[in-house]
Amino acid sequence: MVKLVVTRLLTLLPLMFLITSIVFFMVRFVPGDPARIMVGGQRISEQNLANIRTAYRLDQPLFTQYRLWVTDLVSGNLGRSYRQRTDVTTLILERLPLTAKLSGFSFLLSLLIAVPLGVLAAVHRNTWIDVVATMFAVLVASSPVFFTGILLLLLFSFKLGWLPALGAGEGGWDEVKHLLLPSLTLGLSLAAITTRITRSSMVEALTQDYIETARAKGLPTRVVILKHAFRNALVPIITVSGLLFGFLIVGTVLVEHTFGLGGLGSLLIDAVQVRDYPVVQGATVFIAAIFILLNLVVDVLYGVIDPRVRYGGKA
Amino acid sequence: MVATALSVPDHTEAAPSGWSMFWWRFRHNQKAMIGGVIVLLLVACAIFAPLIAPMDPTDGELSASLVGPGQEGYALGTDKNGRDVLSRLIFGTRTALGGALMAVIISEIIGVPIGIWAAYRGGWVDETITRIWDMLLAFPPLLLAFAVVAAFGPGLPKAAFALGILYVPFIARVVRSVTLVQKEMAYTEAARALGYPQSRIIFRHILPNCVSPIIVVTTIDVAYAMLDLAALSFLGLGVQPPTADWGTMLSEGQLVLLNAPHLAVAAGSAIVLAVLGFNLLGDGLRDVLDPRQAQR
Repeated sequence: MVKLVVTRLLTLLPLMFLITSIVFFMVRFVPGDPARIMVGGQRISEQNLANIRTAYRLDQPLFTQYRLWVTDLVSGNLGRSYRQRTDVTTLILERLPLTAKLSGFSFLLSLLIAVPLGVLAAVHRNTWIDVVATMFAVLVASSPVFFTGILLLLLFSFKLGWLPALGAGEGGWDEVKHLLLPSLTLGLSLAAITTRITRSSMVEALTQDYIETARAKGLPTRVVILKHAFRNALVPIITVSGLLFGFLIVGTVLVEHTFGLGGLGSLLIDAVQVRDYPVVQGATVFIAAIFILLNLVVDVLYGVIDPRVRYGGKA
Repeated sequence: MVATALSVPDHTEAAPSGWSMFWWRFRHNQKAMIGGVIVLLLVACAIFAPLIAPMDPTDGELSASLVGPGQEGYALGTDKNGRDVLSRLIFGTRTALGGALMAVIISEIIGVPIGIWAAYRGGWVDETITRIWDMLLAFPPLLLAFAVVAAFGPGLPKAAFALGILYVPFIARVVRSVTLVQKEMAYTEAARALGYPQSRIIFRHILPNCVSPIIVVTTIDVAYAMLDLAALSFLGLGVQPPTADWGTMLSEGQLVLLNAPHLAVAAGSAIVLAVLGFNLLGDGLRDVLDPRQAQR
């Protein structure tokens, strides 16, 4: 198991390296003075510009800058926001809890929607249930997550008045109520992907010989479907989880913007809009690190579920 | 040997040509037909926008701000600046299709040669390239596009260019796998044995076989690009006002959602319809062009 973790780390670390390099060098490749780009075209004195160059080490050779930046990165220092005059790490940690709740909640909701829907569609293949499930998946997948959010907002907040429209609420039940619509929005979009995958892997699992055997043994249909077919259908869902995490990350950014939630995503977008590059850089690297960590966890989990992976064979 | 040669049926009369075969399959594929019609309508809107649109998309009547659908002669109402929503939707097909196509074409100009090169060279070149794009494929393109916009500033061409670069792995991966198969085919071997130059083999034998998969990937990538570009515009990072664009219209519509929901609903529905059209067409084309895979 240790070996598995180490080998996975060795394949995921280069991705981290690639992303940090892209994010780091991007602003340095833009034509013009990086110091001016960092302040986003504000009027500024030469003295201040010089100060910025020193503060961001722009007066040093490119690779020295990069080396120092990576050294800071490893020690958890993501630099300072130019606009907010605070450490980027502090900003991120302030915003993280909300985004974490939103992501977790959305993921849970997506499973609650997609798994029953996918299983039902597979068990009742080529009936109206299957058609409805497929149409749901295709339609929601074609709708940008922010439009899905706006439609839910119109229905549940404005028309029915059940749920609050904007903001994150204040602790406890109020927060749950505020997060319900954003999570449902993101959950639905995720479910559009997972429903299709659950359905097709379930269909495949149901045609296997061991299902015939289980049926022939006289096991009740419920047991055959849930215990024999579903367990094996889980593996492909976990395989695409990397894709799902990517989707979730971009989704939280868009959903937070749509519902006016002050999470990590809004921090990033606000920084992009005012071109606060240290924050953009820091937040992107942080999100990439989380993304890679999640993928690592899933890879290990994959090894736990599927012994073929654990023993080094190809699944 | 002679017997088998004689028993080969004569195809010259009865067999339909490749094109009519394609058309027959296309017509009988529901997804391809629905998607095809939607895409055709969108393309027509984009080309003939000035002829179809009832009013000017950027010039509004301030006195007619936020008129509801069907009132005062505005079929879909007006926005905050009194601009006709229908006309803006029609002109919006230009930025939506144009931007998405630009992104996808850029990805192909770079991705197709890389895919062929990786498959042809093999060895460490192939290994390195596939490693890099496997990593990039896992990472959401939109997130890196944010960083690009932060560095280079907002705007449709920049956003489309950034997405185009980030989409390279999507197309390169497909082209590589087709090339790997074609490289081992008997006729490619034969061409090589005849001493034809590599360029001739690539252009006469490899590329033509890449066309079908490229068409399928292009169609589906356009749908992705439309979603990503709409997201960038929605966040104020893509198309800049006053240009008519669905993403920007949606974000303008969100600000007046309580008083004038028609604006956001109209813009959002346009995006859904367009993305759905390209998704259906792409799915349908895959069935039509690659029946073996479709049976699975």
